[in-house]
Amino acid sequence: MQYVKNEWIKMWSQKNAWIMLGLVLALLAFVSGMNKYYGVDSDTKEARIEANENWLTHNNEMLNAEGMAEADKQYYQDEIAMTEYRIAQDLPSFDATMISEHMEMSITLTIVMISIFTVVIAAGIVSSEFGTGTIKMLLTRPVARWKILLSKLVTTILYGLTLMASGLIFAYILGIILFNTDPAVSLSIVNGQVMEETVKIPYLEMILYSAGSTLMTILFAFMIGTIFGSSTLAVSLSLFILLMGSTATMFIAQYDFAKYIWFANDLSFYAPGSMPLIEGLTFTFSLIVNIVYAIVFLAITFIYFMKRDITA
Amino acid sequence: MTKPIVEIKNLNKKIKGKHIIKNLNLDFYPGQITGFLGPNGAGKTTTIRMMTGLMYPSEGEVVIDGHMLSKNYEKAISNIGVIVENPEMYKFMSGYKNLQHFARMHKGVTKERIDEVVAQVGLQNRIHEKVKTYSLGMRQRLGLAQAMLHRPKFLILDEPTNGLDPAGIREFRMYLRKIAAEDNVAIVVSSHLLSEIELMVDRIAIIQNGELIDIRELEQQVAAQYYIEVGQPEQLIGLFEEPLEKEKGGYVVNLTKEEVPAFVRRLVESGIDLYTIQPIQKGLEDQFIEMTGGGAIDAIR
Repeated sequence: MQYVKNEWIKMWSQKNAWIMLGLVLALLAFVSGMNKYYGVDSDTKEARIEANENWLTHNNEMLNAEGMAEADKQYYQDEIAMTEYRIAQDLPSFDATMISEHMEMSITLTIVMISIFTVVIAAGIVSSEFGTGTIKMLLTRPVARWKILLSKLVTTILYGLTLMASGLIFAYILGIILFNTDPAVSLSIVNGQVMEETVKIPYLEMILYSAGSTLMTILFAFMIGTIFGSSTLAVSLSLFILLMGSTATMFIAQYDFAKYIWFANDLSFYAPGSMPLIEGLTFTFSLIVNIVYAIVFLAITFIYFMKRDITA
Repeated sequence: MTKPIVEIKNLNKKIKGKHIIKNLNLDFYPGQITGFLGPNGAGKTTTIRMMTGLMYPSEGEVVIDGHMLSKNYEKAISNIGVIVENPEMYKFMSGYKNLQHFARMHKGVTKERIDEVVAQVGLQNRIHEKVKTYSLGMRQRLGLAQAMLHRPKFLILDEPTNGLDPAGIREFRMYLRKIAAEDNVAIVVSSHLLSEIELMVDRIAIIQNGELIDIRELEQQVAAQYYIEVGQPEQLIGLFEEPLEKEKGGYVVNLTKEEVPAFVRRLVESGIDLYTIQPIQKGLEDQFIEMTGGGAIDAIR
């Protein structure tokens, strides 16, 4: 689509887009660097043994403490057995950062940043044209208004995807360079035997659920930016909902209407390890609420933009 | 007369109960340059916005090359090139990228066409620099370039000489004349610089309080008055029955062009020394003031 190309070129011709991309990469590099610097070393065999033996010593000391309950004693004995297993198998210590954990952290971090930065683009991509008056130049072309608006929405979403892809690829490269690339293993004791299990992190689910929540915020920012022609208003309202949505949900959770508000149905609540703030919500119900809101947001945005008089 | 390229039919616009444009009817013809004049707030820009699809009329219709703007927007608007108020460009991009951007929104604008338009407006040397480094005059040229890209049949220019220096205005005038004559483009120029418009337009349409109060072809303005200076004023006065209007060092005489040779012969035969005889052309500005009432000329900012 020619019009998406236009928007794409305009977006990258402005410093904003590059600065925000740079920030995503810089923050990922910073956090990974900190983890590497302060984390437990597991690169060499000596380092692995040292880390494991430190932990062994610690647990032995704890075990020798007096007045230990039977359950606690059992716990330390298990820890000691598992750590000895790690030494025997040359596994990194339990607290060493593995690439899978690094990626899990990076994905969370990337998604938070993408939500904020893409909201900034979504809020400004229409309103800035009103601000500078270029909207007149854009809308006196033989192109229907809805096509122009759609091209801007598509460009915004593409920007979010670009940040996501660059962030994840960069994080993966960092992970390979900085951290242990062996699969993370978790150990457990079953019937006195140490059992080894590979840790599986549901990356895709994490990304998809959060992306659903991010998309809703983007649509909301896009709507406010288009209707009020003010990116400040759109950014602040959207970020407020993004950052305070959970808190606000807790306040209104007691009321019946709360479950019909889209941010109370945030899809990221259904990601593995999270749960909805309001009891009794199901994924299907939340998905439907989100879809209904998305349609309403889009309808308001497009109808308003097509009907309005341009006086900028 | 040829078929009009643009017809404005019974255009009305009401905003919040205020009747801003009232029953406006106006046609534009190929090859003709029309000046669109009116004091501030008369409805010039609102009319232009309705002609370009930026605003929707409350009543009435704009028909461009046979296509109704309200029904067949993309077809109708593809014949129009426009600068509304200032030519607002993307300052963070080069002039060339701006043109490429707008070219992508039209069908069939080639790279060669972009280069051709750039050369026509004389921006070759600076076209690859960012627009934020341009002077107002250069932005006007770039604005004209983007309006001309797709060879429109109808060109709407809102205050186009704003920010051009005298040489630039002259060049601009010649350019408009050229495209009107060679490409048969219909052009509308709105401006507050009335004397500017006078030199580049074929006819003027005057709008006041949302109503079209006059349309006139400028060629019709044949002088009916002459200014003369003679050596023997007493004898001159004696030639006329009614008293003569005195102005500066001479007199104003009511004459048509056809009567001039006979009049001169008569002066010579009467032995009156004739120093000067010249037609009095009322400037557009005088006519404009006459029509809208002197107080309304707040358009001259």
